[in-house]
Amino acid sequence: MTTSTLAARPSPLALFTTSWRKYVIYLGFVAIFVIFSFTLFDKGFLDPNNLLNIIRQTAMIAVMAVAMTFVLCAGEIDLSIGAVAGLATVITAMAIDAAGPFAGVCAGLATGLVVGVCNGLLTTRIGIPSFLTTLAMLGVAKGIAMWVSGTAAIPILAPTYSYLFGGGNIGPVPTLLVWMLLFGVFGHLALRRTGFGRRVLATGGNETAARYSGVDTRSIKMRVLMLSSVSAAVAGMLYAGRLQSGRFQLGEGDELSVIAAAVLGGTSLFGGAGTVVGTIMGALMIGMINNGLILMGLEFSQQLIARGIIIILAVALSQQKR
Amino acid sequence: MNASAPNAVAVRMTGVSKSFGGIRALDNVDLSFHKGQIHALLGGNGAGKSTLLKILNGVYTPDAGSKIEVGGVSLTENTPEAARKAGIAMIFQEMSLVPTLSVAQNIFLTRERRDGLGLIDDGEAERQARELFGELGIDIDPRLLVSELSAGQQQLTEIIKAMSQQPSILILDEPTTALSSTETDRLFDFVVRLKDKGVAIVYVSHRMDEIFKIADVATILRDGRHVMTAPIGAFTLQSMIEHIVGSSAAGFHDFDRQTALGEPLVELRGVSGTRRPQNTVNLVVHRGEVVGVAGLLGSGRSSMVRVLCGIDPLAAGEIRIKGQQVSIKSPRDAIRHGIALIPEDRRRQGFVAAHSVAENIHLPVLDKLSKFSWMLSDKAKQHADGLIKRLRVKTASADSAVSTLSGGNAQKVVIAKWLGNDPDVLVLDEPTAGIDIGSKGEIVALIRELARQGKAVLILSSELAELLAASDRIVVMSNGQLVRDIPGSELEAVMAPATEPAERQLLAERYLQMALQNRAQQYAKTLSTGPHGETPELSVNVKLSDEELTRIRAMQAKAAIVMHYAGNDWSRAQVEGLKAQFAVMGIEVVAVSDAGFQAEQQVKDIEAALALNPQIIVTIPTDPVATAGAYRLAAERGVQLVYMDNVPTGHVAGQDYVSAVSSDNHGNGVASAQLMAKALDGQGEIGLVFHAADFSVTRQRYEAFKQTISEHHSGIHIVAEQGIAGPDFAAQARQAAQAMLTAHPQLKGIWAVWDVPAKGVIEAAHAAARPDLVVTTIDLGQQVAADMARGGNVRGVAAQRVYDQGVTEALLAGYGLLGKAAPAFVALPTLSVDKDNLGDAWQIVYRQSAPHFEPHTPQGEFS
Repeated sequence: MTTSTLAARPSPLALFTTSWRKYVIYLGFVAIFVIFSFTLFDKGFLDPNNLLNIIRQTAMIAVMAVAMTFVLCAGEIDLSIGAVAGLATVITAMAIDAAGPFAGVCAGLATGLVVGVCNGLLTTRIGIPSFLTTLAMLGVAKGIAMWVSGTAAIPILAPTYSYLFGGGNIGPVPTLLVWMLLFGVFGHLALRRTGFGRRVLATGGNETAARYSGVDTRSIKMRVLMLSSVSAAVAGMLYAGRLQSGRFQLGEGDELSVIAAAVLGGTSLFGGAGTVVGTIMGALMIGMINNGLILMGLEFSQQLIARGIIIILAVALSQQKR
Repeated sequence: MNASAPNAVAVRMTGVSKSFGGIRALDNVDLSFHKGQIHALLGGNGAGKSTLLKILNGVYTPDAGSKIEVGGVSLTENTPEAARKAGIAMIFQEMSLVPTLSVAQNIFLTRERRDGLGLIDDGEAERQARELFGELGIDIDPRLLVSELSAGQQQLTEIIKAMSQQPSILILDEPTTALSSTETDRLFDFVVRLKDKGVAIVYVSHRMDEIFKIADVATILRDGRHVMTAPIGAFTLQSMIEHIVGSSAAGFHDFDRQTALGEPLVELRGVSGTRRPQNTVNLVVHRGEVVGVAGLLGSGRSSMVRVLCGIDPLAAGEIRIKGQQVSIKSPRDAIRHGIALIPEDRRRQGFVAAHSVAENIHLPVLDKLSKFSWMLSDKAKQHADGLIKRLRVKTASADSAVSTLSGGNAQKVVIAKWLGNDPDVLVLDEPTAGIDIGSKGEIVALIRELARQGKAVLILSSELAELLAASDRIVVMSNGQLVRDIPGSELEAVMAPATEPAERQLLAERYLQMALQNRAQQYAKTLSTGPHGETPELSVNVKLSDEELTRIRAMQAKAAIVMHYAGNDWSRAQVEGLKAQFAVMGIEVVAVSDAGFQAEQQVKDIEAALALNPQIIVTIPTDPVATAGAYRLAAERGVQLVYMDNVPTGHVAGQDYVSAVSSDNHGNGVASAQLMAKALDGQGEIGLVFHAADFSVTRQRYEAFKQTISEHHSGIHIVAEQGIAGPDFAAQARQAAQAMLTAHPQLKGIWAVWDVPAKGVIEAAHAAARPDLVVTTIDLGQQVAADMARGGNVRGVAAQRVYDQGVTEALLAGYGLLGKAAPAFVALPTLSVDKDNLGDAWQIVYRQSAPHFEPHTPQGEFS
């Protein structure tokens, strides 16, 4: 029997050299945190309020990034999320204005659902690559948001809503942190420990193999795209609650931060691999960088450049060599 | 065991058709698969095999009017899910594994193991996966990602995945392409066990040897139509190929081989790669020469090529091209030095499927075809058209996408791509994997043609038939080293006895198989003499032409088989060989008798057989004197007598009987002596347990053993000898061995004249607490094989090729019927068997996969 020992078990050293990239997000997170703690100590980086700020600023990205992890793992992409978030803020604000907070929440979720169904159907039934479907949808969603709001901000005058969706604190804990944890925990369990998550990973890992194994890959893609849009709508509602208004520009450009967060966290752009925990860390890291650059007092233009370089560095390090 | 009737229909397909656009891939096929049967599905590329399987597996929906019943229930829904629920599992040719998931996760994909909360429990899945692998004796860590596995491991995982579904119908599509021969044997073993449990097995393979080895029934499809279904025994290799290819057979025939070699083009001197430390390879390939590289998975053949082609760095040694030492640090360097690699994985490494044939061909020579980056369209067109023509690529046009071509033609495009650079050295890794047999022949012809044009060619292939057909010379790699260099002349000598291409190929293939296991020396060499001192004829020279076979079939003859004893493996395998060959010859076997070693009983058996008026009796006389009268009676009645091993006193070959067939008993003795010497490293004292009877078979073994030891192994001394006379050979051998071990405590080894006495010797070794005592013997019996397999006392067995002996006897009976002059004595060469080649040898001896030898000893007393 021993003659057929096939299993190649890597040595610990080899294991480290091949898999350190998997954990680069954690190393990077700690490294940047330490650097900022020293350099920005006198600017209050470590102040509990500042740390909560980072979380508040990151929550929306994190919520969307959790869903994006599923989309990327299934081998698809969703570029429409920023615009959908913006549209959701507008629709929610208008519905609250017209019929109260509960109607607002329903309308916001419905917005995400409708966009998701459109994205899903176009991608899985007509066969337009999700890259194109969602790029087009970005324009459509933004256009609708501008049109129905007349490009104006719509105020939300419902304190309960604002409290629950991003504005309030439960004791010292911001509700945004609760939302982020909620998405993180459920997302992690769903991806790792449910049949749905496993099917998502299989679909992105090798679609043919998954189909032959009895996975309905079209339905899986449909569902991840719907999940993504609904999460974007939730993120939009969080923006609306935090800023007590709906405005089409909210969430604009978030798709890039969201994808960067997922990829930083080790999610493969080619599908089949990714973790929700990594994604949350990625989102926090981006939030931390944004915060640090602001504290450093850089100009906005400088911030953009610095942020871009840091993200490229981190993503380059986290990518497995192919 | 058999929960259901063995031959109940598992799947019945009626009028199954499938069209893609205007093309009919399957045309009104009727086919049934039965429980407890291995059903081979054969056909060239485009014959409709894959389509049929994909319909069965729910991947394709058949056209209206098609009917599929599984276990008597009509299959209404066509999805993989529905097929799985109906109990159908399939092992796909193109991998159905997700590279980014772990082995265990893949095995249980869509059937995930759950914990108490309904969440996926990967730990449990890993545990169950480990159990499944254990059952098949495979060592793969279920936690590894599939992308970290080798091709062979992926294939095994795929197989386990299908088997874990406990299907009632298992479809295997080319399951062995990435497996080593040991792994293949294990798989076959497992498949046979599933068959015994009543699973219906559908087996697709391009490898004819596998089909003959394992299938019970074969169906041939051609151009989407059902050609025929028949028991495997009804086919010969040649007839099977003819049915698959159509009227004109175009399998592997002998290709012209270059005899005059040019100058050395490639020289590897002490080459080592970093991945394989001991890979110190010396190899020269000349202009106009095709060198085949044989070796099992992990033998280092791919590593060697990777170094040569600059993919892996050279760790030591030197590479010379045209006599000049060169430094090859990257694939670019290799290309510059005129080396072209045609990689194993066509789809991934060979071509861009969506691009046109011309674009693919242009790719490596873009520089030559363009000026200042501007493509010279005329020149490019000329280049591609020229190569398409030269290699006879069948494509609608140069602008068709490679994805529209068949496997064989796509491979030609890959070869064309590299020929554009006009390389001197071509390296082909598994050039015909997954290509149908007709196209394989074309690729091989192309390789020969390229050699004739002055290229040096290295072919790596795990398909021995292809290596043999294409190569001038075959080198064997094992464990990172080049262990043998077999020139064409040696292979020619092996094939010389046969004239039929298929038979020649089979001989050479078997020889090469043994070489792969490092055991080729003994083959095709017999030294024993017949009962009257006749020189032996080789069994491979006993054969019947098609025309002779037809005449024999027309006679509708009857045959009786009269054995001395039928209760052992030796007799059973021989009777099986006889029956199988008689079936091919259209001869009915009317009686098989067992005399229980009693001469008197055997005389009665002969008389009873004669009452059935057989034209043929094949028999082994229990006693040459006592049975002589009864056999004479048979001879006088005109019965064609063929004797096994022993001839009654006074009978004359050619007059009273057709021929006598025996194992090469002298060779058996020689081989068992060599095995003993090898196990002892040529040093030590040994004892012999011989047969104390006037029996030429056992006498020759004994004499040959002693002669070999005294002439060739001066370090080995025979210090004790004891004869045994039966009837309880095992018990007597045990007593003899016990006495020897007491008198000579330093005794290193004991030879036993056949496997039954050997059993007694093993018992004595256990009783004396001598696990180190080396035992060698003759005849591959179940118990000595089991002892050897688990690393017991038995270190080597000289095996008789019993099944083949039966086949040879049946053929000789045919000589008798035809009145064709037959050799008086035919001998079958010995197989030298040790632990390493046990599985292959068992296959050759018994025509069955080796049983799974249990790790514990069967007798309670020695555990």
